[in-house]
Amino acid sequence: MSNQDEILEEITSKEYEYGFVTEIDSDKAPKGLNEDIIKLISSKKNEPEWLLEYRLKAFAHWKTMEEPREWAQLNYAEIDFQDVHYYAAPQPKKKVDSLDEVDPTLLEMYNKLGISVDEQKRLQGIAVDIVMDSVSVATTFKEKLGELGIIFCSFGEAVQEHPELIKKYMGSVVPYTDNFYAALNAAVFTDGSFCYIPKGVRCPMELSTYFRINEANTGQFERTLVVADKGSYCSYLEGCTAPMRDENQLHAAVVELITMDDAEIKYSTIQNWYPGDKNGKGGIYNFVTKRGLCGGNNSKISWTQVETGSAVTWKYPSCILKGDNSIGEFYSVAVTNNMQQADTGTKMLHIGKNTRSTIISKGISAGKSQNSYRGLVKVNKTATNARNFSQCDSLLLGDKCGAHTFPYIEASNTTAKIEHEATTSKIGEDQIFYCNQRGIDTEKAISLIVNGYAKDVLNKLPMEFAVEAQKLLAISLEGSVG
Amino acid sequence: MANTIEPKKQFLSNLSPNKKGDTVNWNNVDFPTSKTEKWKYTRVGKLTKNAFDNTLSENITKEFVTEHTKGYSQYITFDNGKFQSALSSFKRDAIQVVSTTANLELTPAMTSEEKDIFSTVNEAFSTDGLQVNIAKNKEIKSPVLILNIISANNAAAILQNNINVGQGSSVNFAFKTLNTNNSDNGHFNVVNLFNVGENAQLNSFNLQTPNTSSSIIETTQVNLERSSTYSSYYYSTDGSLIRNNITAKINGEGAEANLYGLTLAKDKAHIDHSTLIDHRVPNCESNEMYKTVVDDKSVGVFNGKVFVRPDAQKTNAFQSSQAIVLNDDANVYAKPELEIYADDVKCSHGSTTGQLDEEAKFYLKSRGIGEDAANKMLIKAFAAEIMENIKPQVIVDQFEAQIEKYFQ
Repeated sequence: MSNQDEILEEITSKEYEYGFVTEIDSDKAPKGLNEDIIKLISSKKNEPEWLLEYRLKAFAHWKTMEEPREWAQLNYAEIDFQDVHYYAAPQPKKKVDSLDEVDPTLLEMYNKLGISVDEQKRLQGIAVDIVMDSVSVATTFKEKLGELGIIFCSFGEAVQEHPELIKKYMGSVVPYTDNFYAALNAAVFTDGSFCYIPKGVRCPMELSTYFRINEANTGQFERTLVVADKGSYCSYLEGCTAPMRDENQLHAAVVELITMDDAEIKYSTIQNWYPGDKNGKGGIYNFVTKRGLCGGNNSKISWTQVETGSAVTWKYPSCILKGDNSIGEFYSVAVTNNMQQADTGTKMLHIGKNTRSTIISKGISAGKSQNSYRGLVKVNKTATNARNFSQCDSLLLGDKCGAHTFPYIEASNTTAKIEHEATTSKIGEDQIFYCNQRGIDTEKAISLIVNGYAKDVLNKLPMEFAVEAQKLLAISLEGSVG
Repeated sequence: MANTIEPKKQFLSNLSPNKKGDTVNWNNVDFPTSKTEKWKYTRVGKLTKNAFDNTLSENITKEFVTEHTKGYSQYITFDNGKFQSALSSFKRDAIQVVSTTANLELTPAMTSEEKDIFSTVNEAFSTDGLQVNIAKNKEIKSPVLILNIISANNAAAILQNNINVGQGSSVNFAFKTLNTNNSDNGHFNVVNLFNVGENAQLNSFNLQTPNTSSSIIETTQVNLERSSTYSSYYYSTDGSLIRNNITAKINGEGAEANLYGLTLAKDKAHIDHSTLIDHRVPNCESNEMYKTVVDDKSVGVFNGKVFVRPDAQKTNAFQSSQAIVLNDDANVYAKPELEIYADDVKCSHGSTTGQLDEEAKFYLKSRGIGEDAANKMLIKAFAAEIMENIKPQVIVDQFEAQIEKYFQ
């Protein structure tokens, strides 16, 4: 089986493809974090007074908090929160009305990333909001969506144009007191996306945000807020990349989803931040708080994520199942390679009656990486007939990596039914042998098996994303997939 | 730090130290808080407000001992932490009872990282202990019973049991932890250090039935050598707090660790099983099966970790925790963990939480079996998977008697 080992070796030593830097002038705030910086960010964004107050309150609270270190299965260098630019915007920053006016270097960058904004606009009909460093640079299809009453714009614009909605919903799912990074984000967030789907509207196209960190020494702190009013539906995609740099960069985002009665949000993420080099130098620290509130009855939130990037991932997209009969779903493929570390999973909080949740998590570890699933399923006293099914599988490629599972299961209702199962294994030699026998070489066999292993999750991605996800898996595991 | 020293002072104030007691450094250990990940679901605040006494005089009766040693040919009795020679009966060649104040030591010593505050309390305040050295190729079929009794209010029974099983030997030990009538608010603190030699086998059966105001903290460390087997079977009920920490270190190839636990909790009982199976070498196996039933306002916790080190290839580890919640005020917490650093392993865990099967209940009722009887039958069936692994009849009988008692 030495051939197999070689291929695994090759797979696990592939370099990052999106590591280029785009030469765009940028407007940066000085390094450091203090009230003046927050005021600067707020004034640059021309924000109303209440938002600045909110930021300052969050900052004051953040100062009282300690970085969470103890429980996560992660090991990373101390972060100097004063050594980061909390604001960087691509220059020249002027109001962009249509894509034709966007800086051509930017468009070129997106072409390089494989997301041709133009093409998507014409062929696939995806509305894209692009956030580079800290600022939203382009939003497509706004008018067409506007006809249906859908609001889809950058967070900054939303603050200006729909302050009442922002004021009502921002921080309602992830308050700034929630955790260390949520507090930091609330204090210094610079932009992000906002989306509101009115009553009874089924969003006709996929909405998408693309995040890109370009500048050195910056952190990216964006907020996404998606509100689905009664009976509405939308599917939201999120993708991210960053250049290769030797130092670690911080990404601390907050995503809040709210569904009212009978509404549904499907939120898909392809996370491909720069994972650092083979020796673990550089890479993004990805500390993200994502949470959805199924506030209304019969509502549904579904998280799908493909995690391939970041040096350190700390991320638990969660669902608060408050409305009766609401449904939460979490589908995840997390791939770690080289020196990457991931501690990711979900939380399903059952509060309403007849709430249901499904968790499918597939971890793939290679190289010297550590991949952990950490998930909470909590059934409150009030959650009569709650139902949960969790499945967490780990696949180990190589003998120097680790795969860990930390489920937390808390039940306080007699009618709750909770099932959890997890397995850890490597690719079976018999499976590879079976493929070899039928003329499928070892590399293809591994590809086949990994693909099949992740299929449960990949199938949940929207078509447009599934292709990209498969490509990403292929890159992370060197051409063996897809 | 002041607020962490205070409860320690309070908790230790009425305990009198043994020989090692003065050498212990209390600065390194603290009571777990809600932030301590290993104790996430178990609060010790209430426990630490007590000041237990480990010097109380012993006052159990012969009748009490006779009643509780029925079926055992060898038994060793401890009352309020002190050995009762007249109320014990065992072959003294293999088994010694040592006063900790003399020379009993933690062998092998726990590392300072492994020691927590409760094992440190044990080190400093244990009164008596058991030193068992089983020679090569011996067999003890009928379990030797260690009876650990509290017979006074506010008493602490702090014991340490060292059992070394020689190469090729196969032995059975039973442990009973209980109170006499009129002995409220007792505290049992037990440290078990078991070494299972090559090809040897150790089965331990633990019947934890303290009264509802008493607490048990038990720390067990097992070292398994090549091709050895350790199996433990716990029955736990009642108790204001029961916490069992089991660490099984698999040091030799071909060794096997089996941990079984049956918890039937009601009233305000809080029962927590915390296990760690440390797979250090290749080709070993571990099985864990914990079953929990909670009623009234009781809490059942299972926190198990399978730890597979990079060298421990070909490990087979299986972990299962199942729970039934009978009351909306009762809580079940499960945290079955896998931490795996080797790739050629088969590790899995399964965890379920639910209620008694309505259809099964309906089936029984439609055949004229009453609600209570049906419940009992189904819970017995739930427990059966553990019961069927227990070999000695005397243990089976006692486990069954306890299950019966749960429904009274």
